[in-house]
Amino acid sequence: MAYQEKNRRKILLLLLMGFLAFSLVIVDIYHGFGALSFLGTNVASQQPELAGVVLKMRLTRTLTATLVGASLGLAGLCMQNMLKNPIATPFTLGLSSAASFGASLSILSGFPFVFGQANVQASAIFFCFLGSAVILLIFSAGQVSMNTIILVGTAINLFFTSLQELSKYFASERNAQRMTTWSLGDLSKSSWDSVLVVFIVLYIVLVLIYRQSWEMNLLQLSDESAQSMGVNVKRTRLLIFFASALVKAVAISFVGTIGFIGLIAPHFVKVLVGNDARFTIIGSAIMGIVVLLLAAIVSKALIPGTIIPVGIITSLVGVPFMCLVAIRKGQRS
Amino acid sequence: MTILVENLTVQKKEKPILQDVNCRFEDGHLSTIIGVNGSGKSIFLKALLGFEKKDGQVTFEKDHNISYIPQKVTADQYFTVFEFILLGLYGDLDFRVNDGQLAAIESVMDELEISDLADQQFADLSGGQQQLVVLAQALVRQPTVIIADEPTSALDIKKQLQYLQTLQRYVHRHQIVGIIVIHDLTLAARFSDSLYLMQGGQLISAGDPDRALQQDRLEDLYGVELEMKETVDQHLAIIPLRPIEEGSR
Repeated sequence: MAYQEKNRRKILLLLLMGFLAFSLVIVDIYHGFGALSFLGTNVASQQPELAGVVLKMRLTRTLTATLVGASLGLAGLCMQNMLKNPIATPFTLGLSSAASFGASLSILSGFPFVFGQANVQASAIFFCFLGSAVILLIFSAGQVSMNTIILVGTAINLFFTSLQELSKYFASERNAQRMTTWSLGDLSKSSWDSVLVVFIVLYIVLVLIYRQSWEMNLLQLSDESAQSMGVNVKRTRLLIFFASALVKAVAISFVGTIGFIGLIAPHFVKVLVGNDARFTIIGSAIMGIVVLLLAAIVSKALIPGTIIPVGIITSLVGVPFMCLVAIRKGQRS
Repeated sequence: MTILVENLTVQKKEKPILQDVNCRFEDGHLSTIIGVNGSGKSIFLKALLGFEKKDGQVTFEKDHNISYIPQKVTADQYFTVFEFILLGLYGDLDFRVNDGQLAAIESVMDELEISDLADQQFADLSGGQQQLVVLAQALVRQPTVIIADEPTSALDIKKQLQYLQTLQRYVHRHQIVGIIVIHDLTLAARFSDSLYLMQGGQLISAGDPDRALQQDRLEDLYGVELEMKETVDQHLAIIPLRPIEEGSR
């Protein structure tokens, strides 16, 4: 099949995925405890004025899920591509644990003290960046194998998980509970603020990264090939890594750690549209939405009357998936 | 286009890897570099490319467009062969790939007889096919300089001959500079327009292949007993016989 024809088909696939995502948005808004009901009463039929309020609440939650899903899908793709490793994601690199610890530290001590209500978010973002900085530093040192970076990521993960446990140990029961909820990843913390902030950051990062599509493609060949063709390898890799860490940090600072979206979404997208970043960047964002909304819907439907934290659902699906990907990679190389 | 190398020195951890290399690469010449492992061949190529911190001068006569073919090609991606070659056009690519660019890719694939691979995944190809695809990616840029590090190491003997023939023909036809590192001495003898011998980070012979390929000199350099004879088509065949034991000379 001719190249252009194939690309048209990829665009069509992206449109279909977009349509699927949109349908899930609608389903998620209307799928709650019964059809648009509140505290057991079907408000839509009995109290139309209340229905508006419920719809608004649902809308924030769903929109947050949508934007967070897109952010995580995009960040996952970037990290996988930049580290040339299909199991490298913000979650597996320990950046999520770092953010979790940041949130816990803030719950415990009020760190960084100056942002009032947003202290927890700020602290989570700060520590997520700290983790990223470590990985970036190792990058910049040059001549490190991609496996080294994955190992360092695992170490970062363990380190911050221990610190997280330590903060729980010192925390009051109530605060320990808050820490646990945060680290589980929960969409019920959504607000219009979260929608707005995540939207702005996602928009900027998406544009920024999309403009580096060809560079991202080239960085998956050998660095030397890319460099000989005129790509500033270090600068581009830092830029993409930094931007994806940002979008990830901001997204999870509002909803807590939701793992594995960044692993699953890019993987499916690559199976569907191949590896060309012109398609995978948009595709991973859309697929992130699809996966997170599916998880959100399942989290509401699994036990009637209870919303399970969505991070638990994504992890339950994500862990076996990660093993499969790792095994397949092992077989290939 | 010529490349002039003057007093090129590269140091790593205070140890000299390249020492005071002087030479000149002419256009329309396929230049080969031979030498034992660790003699500095790869570093020399990287220094030419500007990848290594160096002392001395590498001067390109005019605007140049380099295609570099590295020793190892990462194969762990989902790119199709066509997409892989397309990346060689980096610098001229917009969101939409234009018809001229598509035609350029197709003509390069024709020339290397890999058109039937177009839709296959690069990672699924054999090592030899991958080398040809990498060459296609290098040629589609219409380079003025091609630098390749052991490009034929994964090829069978027929493909080795085809590869080097294609490369040499391309270098002659387009009057560009071709520089390759190669281990097979017989191939080097057959396809070199100029030949460079490296030892311990220094060039010990530069230029005429016949002068460089002296039996004594090569036996000393490699520590191997060699048989050298002329082939029916008047090229030199260099056959390694056995390693020379330490102290036997």
